[in-house]
Order: sequence, then C-alpha cells, then structure tokens
Amino acid sequence: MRRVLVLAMAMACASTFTCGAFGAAYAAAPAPVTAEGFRLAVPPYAFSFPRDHASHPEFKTEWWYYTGHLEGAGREYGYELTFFRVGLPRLREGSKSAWAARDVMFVHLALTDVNGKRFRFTDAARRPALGVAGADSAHYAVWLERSFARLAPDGRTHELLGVAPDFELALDLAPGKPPIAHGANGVSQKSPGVGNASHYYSLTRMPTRGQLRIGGDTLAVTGESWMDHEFGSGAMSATHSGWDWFSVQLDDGRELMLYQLRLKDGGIEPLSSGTIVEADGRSRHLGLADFRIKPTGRWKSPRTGADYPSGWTVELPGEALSLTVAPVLADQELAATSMGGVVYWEGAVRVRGTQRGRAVTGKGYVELTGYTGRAPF
Amino acid sequence: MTITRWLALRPLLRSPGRTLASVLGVALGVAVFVAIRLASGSALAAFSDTVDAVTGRSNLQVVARGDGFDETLYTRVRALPGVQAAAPVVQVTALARPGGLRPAAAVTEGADGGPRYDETLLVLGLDAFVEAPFFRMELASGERGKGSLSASEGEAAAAGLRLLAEPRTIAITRTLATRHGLHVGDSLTVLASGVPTPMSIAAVIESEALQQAMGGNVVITDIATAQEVFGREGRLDRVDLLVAPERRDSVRAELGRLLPPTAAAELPQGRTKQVENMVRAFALNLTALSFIAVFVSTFLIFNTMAMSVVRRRRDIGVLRALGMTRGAVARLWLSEAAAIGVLGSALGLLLGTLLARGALRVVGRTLTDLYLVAQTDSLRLDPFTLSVGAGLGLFATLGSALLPALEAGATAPGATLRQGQRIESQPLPLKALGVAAAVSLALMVASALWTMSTHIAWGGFASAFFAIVGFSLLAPGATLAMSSLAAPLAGRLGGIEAALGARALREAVARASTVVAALTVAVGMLVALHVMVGSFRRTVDTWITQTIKGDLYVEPVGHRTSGSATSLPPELVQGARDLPGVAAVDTYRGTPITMNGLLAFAIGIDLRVQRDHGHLSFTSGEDAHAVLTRALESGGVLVSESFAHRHRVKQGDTLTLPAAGGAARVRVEGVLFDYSTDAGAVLMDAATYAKLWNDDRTESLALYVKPGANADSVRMAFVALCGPERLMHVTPNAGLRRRVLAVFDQTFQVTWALQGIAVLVAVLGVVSTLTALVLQRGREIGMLRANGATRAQVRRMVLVESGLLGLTGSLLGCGAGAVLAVLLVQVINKQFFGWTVRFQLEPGIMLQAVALMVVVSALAGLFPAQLAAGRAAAEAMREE
Repeated sequence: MRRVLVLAMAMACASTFTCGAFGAAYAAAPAPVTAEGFRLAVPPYAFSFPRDHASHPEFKTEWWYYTGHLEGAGREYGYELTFFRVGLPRLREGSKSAWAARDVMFVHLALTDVNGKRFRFTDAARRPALGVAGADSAHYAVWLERSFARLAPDGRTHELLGVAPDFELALDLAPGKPPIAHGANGVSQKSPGVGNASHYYSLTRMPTRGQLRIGGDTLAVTGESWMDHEFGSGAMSATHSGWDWFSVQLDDGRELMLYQLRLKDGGIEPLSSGTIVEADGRSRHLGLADFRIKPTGRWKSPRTGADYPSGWTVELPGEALSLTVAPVLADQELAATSMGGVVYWEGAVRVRGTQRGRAVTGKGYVELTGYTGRAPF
Repeated sequence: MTITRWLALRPLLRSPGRTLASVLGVALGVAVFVAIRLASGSALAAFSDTVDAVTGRSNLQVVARGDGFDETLYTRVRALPGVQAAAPVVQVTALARPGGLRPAAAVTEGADGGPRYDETLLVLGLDAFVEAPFFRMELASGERGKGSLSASEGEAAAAGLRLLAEPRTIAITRTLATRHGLHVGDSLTVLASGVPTPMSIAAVIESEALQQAMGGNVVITDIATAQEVFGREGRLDRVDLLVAPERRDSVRAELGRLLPPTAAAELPQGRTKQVENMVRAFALNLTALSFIAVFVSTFLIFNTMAMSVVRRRRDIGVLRALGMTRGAVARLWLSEAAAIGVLGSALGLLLGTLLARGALRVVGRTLTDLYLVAQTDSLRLDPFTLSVGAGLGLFATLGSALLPALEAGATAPGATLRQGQRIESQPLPLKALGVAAAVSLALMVASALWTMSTHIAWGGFASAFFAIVGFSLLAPGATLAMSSLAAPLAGRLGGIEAALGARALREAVARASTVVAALTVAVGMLVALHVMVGSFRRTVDTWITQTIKGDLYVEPVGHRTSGSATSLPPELVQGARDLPGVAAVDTYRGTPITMNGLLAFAIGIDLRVQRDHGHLSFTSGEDAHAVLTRALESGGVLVSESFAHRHRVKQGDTLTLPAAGGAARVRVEGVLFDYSTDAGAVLMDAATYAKLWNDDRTESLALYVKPGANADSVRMAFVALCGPERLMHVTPNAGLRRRVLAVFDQTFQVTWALQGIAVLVAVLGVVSTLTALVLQRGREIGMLRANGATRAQVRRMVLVESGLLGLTGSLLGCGAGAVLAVLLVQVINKQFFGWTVRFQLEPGIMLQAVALMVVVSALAGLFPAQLAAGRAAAEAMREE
C-alpha cells in the first residue's frame, strides 16, 4: 500500500478541484470512474504479466517500489528506489503543447549505510515532457532524468538505476518468486466504499546483484530485493491519520507483508491487512485479527520534530510466530524537497524472533507515515 | 586665508545679478548633462534589473535569436556535461487589463468605451519542476499570507499544482495585485494575437526580485499555458542554465557547436549589453547636445571672470603692493570661479535630478517605441553620473577662469585703473585667431572625410566639435568687421549715438566677442538641429507618402508589444482577400535576427502584391517593378539602406541569413529606402520566409482597395469579418502616416528641450555681459552726458550696441548652423543610422533665429541702457 506522496498529491488535487467526490452515477456501469474520469479499482481484477508491470495511465495514482538489502566488500546497505506517477485532472486534453502535463512523475532514492550509520536520500519530480521523465504503458519502463526501472529484454530481469548527487546504484533483480497479488479478487481494499482500493502485487524476494558507486569507489553488491507495484484511483479516508507498513524476508524462505491504517481516533482501520508468502510461493491473506503490532520504542526527528515509533513486536498467533523488529539506524527519515515536501520514515530493519520455539531471523523494511503533524501524509 | 576668501567672495555678493547669471549658466549645463545621463541610465538599469530578475540565478543561457527555437533543443542542451540545471522558458510580452472577459467586447480597443488594455505584462512560461535552483517560482496563495508554515507550504504546493494542471492560470506579483486590488481567484485578461484571453489568478509571486522587474508587471504561468495561449507550441525563447563556474567556458564552446543559427549561448549580462549598444547611439547624441550647453556656458564664465579682473584691477594693484604674490592673486580669482562652480554645480545637480524625472518619461517612451525596452518610472540617482556632472561644472568653471586669473596675477603692484584698461585696448591677435579658425575648420573637413571613408562614428562628433571651435574663433574678427561695417551705416540711420554704439563694440571686442561666440554656438545648434530634423522629417514624410500605398493597415491590438509572438488565423487572411472591394492583401511576418553581432529584422511580405500595388523605392533609382520581379524569380532579398550601411552589403552581394531552418545564402537584389527602423531590415517574399524560417504565419496585413471601392466600407466589412472576439487595429493610410510622424516628433522632444536650454544660457550671457560692459563704461557715458547727450541718446547707443552684438552672433551662428547641419545629416546620421536624408536648408529658421537674437539682445541691453542713461554725469566721472 505504499505511498505517501501520491496520496498527498491526490489530496491536493481534491482540495483544489473538489474532485474528491467520486461519481456516484456509475450504478451498473462495468468500469466505474472518478469525477475526473480515472478508473476505480474494483473487483474482479486479473493480473497479467509482464503487461501489468508497465504503467496504467487510466488510474490516477501508481507506484513502483523497490527496497532491498545489499552486501559488498564486507559492508551492508539498505536501499529504496521508488517511482510515482500521479495523474492530473484531465483539463488539458487537446493541448498541442508537449509540456501539457497529464501526469507528474516522482522519484525517491535512499541508501542506508548500515556499517557507517549513515542515511542518504534524494528526490525529484518532473513532468513527462520531451522524454525527461515518463512511464511506458506498453512495456515496463519508468524513468526520471537518469534514474530508471525497467524490464530487461529477457522479460524477467528488472534493471534499476538510481542516481543521487553523491551515489549511484545500478542493479539487476531476478524474480525469485512469482508475483503475489494482495487482497482479494485482485483488489486491496483500503477503506469502505467502492474504489477506495488499489490493485497491488509484490515480488517478495528478488535475488539482486549490481554496483554501488559511492565516494569515488565502485562496489560490486549482491543481496535480495522486494518490489511493490500498486495502482488505483481511490483516496485515503478522511478518518485515517497515517499508516505503518512492514515487509519482512525471513531467512527460512518466507515473506510477510503487513500494514495497519491508523484512525484519527487512535484506533486501527478494520480493513488493515497483510499477506504471508510460503517458501514455495503460495500465499495467504491476513486480516487485522491475524496479527498484532506493538511499538517498543520511539525516535523523535530533530529535522522535522516528527515523533515516530522505533522498534516493534509483531505477533501472528495463527502462525505461532513472534518477531521483534529493530531499525538498523534510528534516522531513516525522508524529507522530500520536491512539490509538496512530504515527510515519512522508511527504513531497513533487522528481524529476529521465534516460531514454536525455533529461532527465526530476517531482514525487512518499515514505512511510517502521518507522524509529522505537518502535512496529513 | 580668511581675508583672501572674503576678498574672493565679496565681489560675488556685490554684483549678485551677474553672479547669478554665471551660476545659472553653469547650473543649466550641468543640469542638462545630469538629466540626460540619469534618465537614460535609469531606463537601462530598469531593463537590466528586469533581465536579472527574469534570469534568476542562471549563469549561462541559450537565447533565441528571433522568434524562438525548436523546443527539442532543450533535451540536448540539458544533457551536456557540466550543466547542473536547465530551465526552459517561454517569454512573451503582452497587453493586459485587470478583470475577466466582458460580454460583447468592443472591436476596436478603447473606442466607444471598450475596455482598455493598458498594462504591459512580461509573461514567463516556466516548468515548476526544474525551477528550484533558479528561485523564480516562489509562490503563495496570497490570501492568508503568513499562516502556519505547514499551511502556507501546502497552499504553495496546491497553487503550483493548479498552474500545472489547469489551463489559463497565472501567478502575479504582489505589486500588480496591489495596484489593481486583485486577489487569488480573480482574472486578468491578456491579449493573445488580439484575442482577449482571461487568465485566472492562482497564486501570488513572492520572489522579491520579480516585484521590481518591469515595475512588477511580471506574470508566471506554466510553460504549457504560455505555449497554448500565445500559439507558441514547439518553441522556446530561452533555456536558462546553471553550470559549474569552472566549466562555463567549455559548456559555452560546446553549445556553440550544438546550437542552430536560431539560438545562441550568452552570459546573462549579454542581453543587457545588446540593449545597451542599441541605446548607446541614442544616449550619445543627447549627451553631445548637453555638452554643447556646457560649452556655451564656459564662454560666459570666461567673460564674467575676465571682466571681474578688469573691473578690480585697482584692487589687485593694491593687494600686490601689499605683498601678495602673483600666485596668490591668481588663486584668489580661481577661488572666485570655484565658488561659482560649486554653487552652479550644486544647483545643476538639483535641477538635473528634477529634469531627469521628466526626461525619463520622454526618453523611456522613445526607447520603448524604438527599441522595445520596458518603460520605467523609477529614477536612479547614480552617484557616478552625479559626480561627473559636478566635476564637469567645476572643471568648466575653473578652466574658463584660468586665463583671467593668470591675467590678474600678472598685474603690476600699484597698478591703477587707467593701466587696467590695458586688456581692453590691447589689439587682439586677429591674425593668430584667423589662422586657428582656419586650422580648426580644415580639421573639421578632414575628420568628416575621414569618418565617411572609414565609417568610424565618433569622427563625426570630432568634426562637429572642430566646427564649433572654428566658428567661435571667428567671433572676434566678425565683431570687428561688424563694428566697422555698421558704424557708418548706423551713424547715417540712427545718428551719432548709434555710430558710437557700433564703435563701442570695437573697443570692447575682447569681451564682446566671447558673447558673440556663445551666441554663435547657441544659434548654430538651433539652426543645425532645425535643419537636420526638418530635412529628416520631410524625407520620412515623402517616403511614407510615396511608398506606403496600402489603404488599410491591419494588426491585432498588442502586436507592437508582443511582436513576433503574434499570429493571425489563415482563415482571416483568406477572408480579407475575399472581401468585396479588396484588390490585394499584403501579409507581414518578421523576426529579429542577429547578424555580425548586430540586431536586424528579417521580414516576409508578399512581393507580388508589393510589385503590383506598392511603390517601394530603391537607392539605385531602378524601377521597383523590375527589382521585385527579379527578387521573385531568384528567391533573393531586398535590404534596407541602414542594413546595407551597417553590414556593408550592396546590390548583387550574397548574404548568409541565420534562418531557423539553417544558415541560408541569398542574393541581395536591391537596396531600398526605409526609415522604419535604424536596425536594418532584410525583406523577402512570404514564401521564401516561410521556407527559411519554417513559419508561414501572418502577423499583420495591408489591404489594397480596388479603384472606385470605398476604403471605409471595406474597413467596416473587415471589422465584421474579425468578429467581436478579436481586437484589431484597422488604420487607414492617412492614420498610419500620422502615427509614424507622431513617433518621429516624439523622438525629437528632448532635442528641442536641450536646444531651448542652450539658447537660454546664451541669452543669460548677453544680459550679464552687456550689464558689465555698460557699467564699466560709466566714465565714458558720464562724459557723454556731461557733453550734452540726452538719456534717450545714451539708451539708444546701448541698444544699438547690444542689438549689433546679437546680429553678429546670430549671423555667424547661421553659418555655423548650416555647416553643422551638413555634418549632422551627411556625416553623423549617415554613420549612426545609414539613412539617406535629403538635406534642405531652411532660410526661414535662419531669419527667425537672427530676428530672435537681435530682439533678445536688444531687450537684454534695455536694463543696462536704463542704468547707463540714469547715471548722473558727475557720479560717472568720479569713478576716474
């Protein structure tokens, strides 16, 4: 469910154009659309690959999200490379200007140096004009300036390039397991109401190799990545204040994705959910009743004043699984500089715990939004 | 030194009238200089500030040479190594008015109570996503202003998003918002090719630099909006770059290889430089005129000081006898001059600053008309100009007082007044003066010929300077000649007192001739300017009447503001051709180009229509029909006379034009008379233009009406064709002629003001000199009265003397004026603008100048005459 800026942008749109109210008049229409004409995520949806890796401009918001853990020359790194596409209200249809914006593209790139205890982050936004940025809807390729994510000609390998002023990350990701669709019937419901949902799938374990160029050095790196791709046209419910999202790759070959949407009244959205993926690739949907997440510590950002939970215990009673989740670095906060200036925490974590008395370990990524009190998300 | 200072200042206080005249003379000269420099400096500074604000923090730019360049160039430029940031810019100047669209807009701007578009806006189309390093797009939603940080940032983002997503949305400066009481959500209507286009205000620009640029008349919009509204899809006007400073030269060199002829890599100061060059010729002429005012006043100061020495010869003798050294005496006189200089300069600075405000309006309007430079109303008191002005006043005063001061120092101790007359009675070195005059005039001719052959412009000014000096040196001779000639005649006509008056000139020739010289320069300038402007105006008028033959001239309102960012729909052009009563329609499309580093215009017109209906006139004297047929057949071009002059091309040469489609080699088929721009123009057939510039749009039209058809009813039909949604100027032939001449006259407004001031300075000089002369001849007048001369006779004597002074000066001035006029028309104008101006002497203005000066001088003599006549014989005699 990720993401942040996209929703902030969608909210900004909503307030500016009062387009937030979805057309209620679609009744029996097969493909309901928003007042702006964007398609809503409604069941059933059957994913088809590699087509669904590519862009879906008929939906308002879409993101491609890579996180991973890398090792090279005896050092450990965590990385995040994300591309967002936000569809704008279709007010410039018929414009002959190449600059007439139908979408805005964003990129976020973060690198956590686990040994050096240092977090680096860069972001940028561009309009898809004259090839400066874009998202191809036929073949998977998204790019912004020099950074890109795309499917290699072999149809399997994801090629990534993330360019920051002080480092560059070039990676090849192999699909270790087939894509896992979250939710039910191809739809991940976020809050009650038709279309308050997205189409959401993950590649939960992608063997990764590539190069990290940093500080004049070029390191060969290997590791494992996680890819999320999500698209939809719904908005966050006004009752939500933010969310906590977890992705865990256990060393026994299983993966876990959990998110809980926090309500403004202090409760948790009943539709919050997760997915557990077995080592053989089979997956099960998890409802809110199937897991419990408890913060064990806090970290206050000196940069933005946001007060984040930092460290958790995660219980899955049905799996007899009990985990503690610890950030590798307290400060992995992303304060975006591009339009909107969204602030969130997204960081590499280490996981250890027990299952029926046996020790389990793993690595993961956690995303925390809505803690700044600055902008809603 | 207190006593010395007192000795210096006392005479100034004792004759306040004469002191005042000297001070005023200096003040006027300084004031004119300061006013002109401040005004043109302020106009340029305002322009440069606008350029800076609009450029943001860019340190290198790719600038369109003409009407934009292909936008795909942007992707290639930004990929160059060393380029840290690149921002595309669409920039259009457009007329606008506050408020939205009103129903049933009047077809003609301003007519019948229609809305007036009296704001000129600089519209910047920017891409918000790449603006961060340039600091231009600092937006606020305007209303809440200083809310909580988070709220205002959110608002700014929402405003930015609205500009991006919603067509026809803009951000305006606080300055503009305040001026018209505009708020976010209100509208501003801009004219895009004459079509009133309402733009919704989405945000307020916070950037401080932009509040001042163009006087706050800056509008920021999304780059797509700017392209859509002004029909500039596919084109950019600039790409602003931020490059690593140490790589700037290499990036620039790389760009030089990459860019097509329609774009150039420039430093941000480059544009200012270009305008500075354009304005330089204009400002230089005015500065030269202000120097003449200073020049005239130096004669008068010299005169005042010289007379002061003569009058106080006895005092000096006493001082010398008391042991004062020569140097001390000379310093005494110099400090008297310094006092005048300081007072005059101070007053001049004050007056100049006041005058500059008025001049700024006039200069600004002229610069806007001629060079499309933004108008400004804020005067900048540039300390450098003020110091130069003050220095000029002091230097001129001290310089002209130097000779008299040395003369004072040379006084023998105990000298008496009798001996003091020496300077008066000494014969002038007439021969030496004559030789000097001849040399000066020879130098004048030489430098004029040198300028004409080398095309080095300042030689013209040198030539004019030698002319002024030469004629000034003729003044003593002329005064003596006048005296000798006039005395018998005056005696016969006006009796003995008239003859005495005429002879008095001879006796006081040293001082009288400086007044004559001052008058010569002032009258010379008056006559020369009159002849030059008159000849020029007649030439232009004849040119318009003979060659501008269209019956109706059509352009969208705002065309002159937006320039090439204007285009008329092809249906409208065809519709005009199909109107009953229309014989032919000429189309116009133009773009500024840069050739050899100079601005020029490439223009596409319908040569066939020009051939069959127009009356272009060529310098070769060839028949226009033949030249145009040749150009049509060869695809060649016609160049204006000023273009031919600036770029040294002639008929039959081959030109390489920096066209949008690539450098194009074309043949020059003719050189035509054209006075519409001094920048120079290259005319070609619309088809050739369309091919070379990939642009077949039309900016404006000329309609030729069939014989027998009524131009007015064609005009009505055309206005109906345009419909109410497009505002057009439809100007009949006579109206166009009036407009051209109005612009012409406006250009010379400042010139007239300057010349008025020079004449005023000269008249002041006449009054002060005559007063001194008469007072000094008190003894002589007393003797005349004692010998029975009546008051009326004395008065007549003085009047004849002063009238003759005026006559001599103005006659010599007419000669100087005629020579200066030739220099102005044939040398200076030719070198600066390359125009052929048909020289025509106006005897009328000469007669007027002579009459005016004789009358003014005689009137100036009235007061001293009264003074002289009123003196009792005994009192006058006592002076001995």
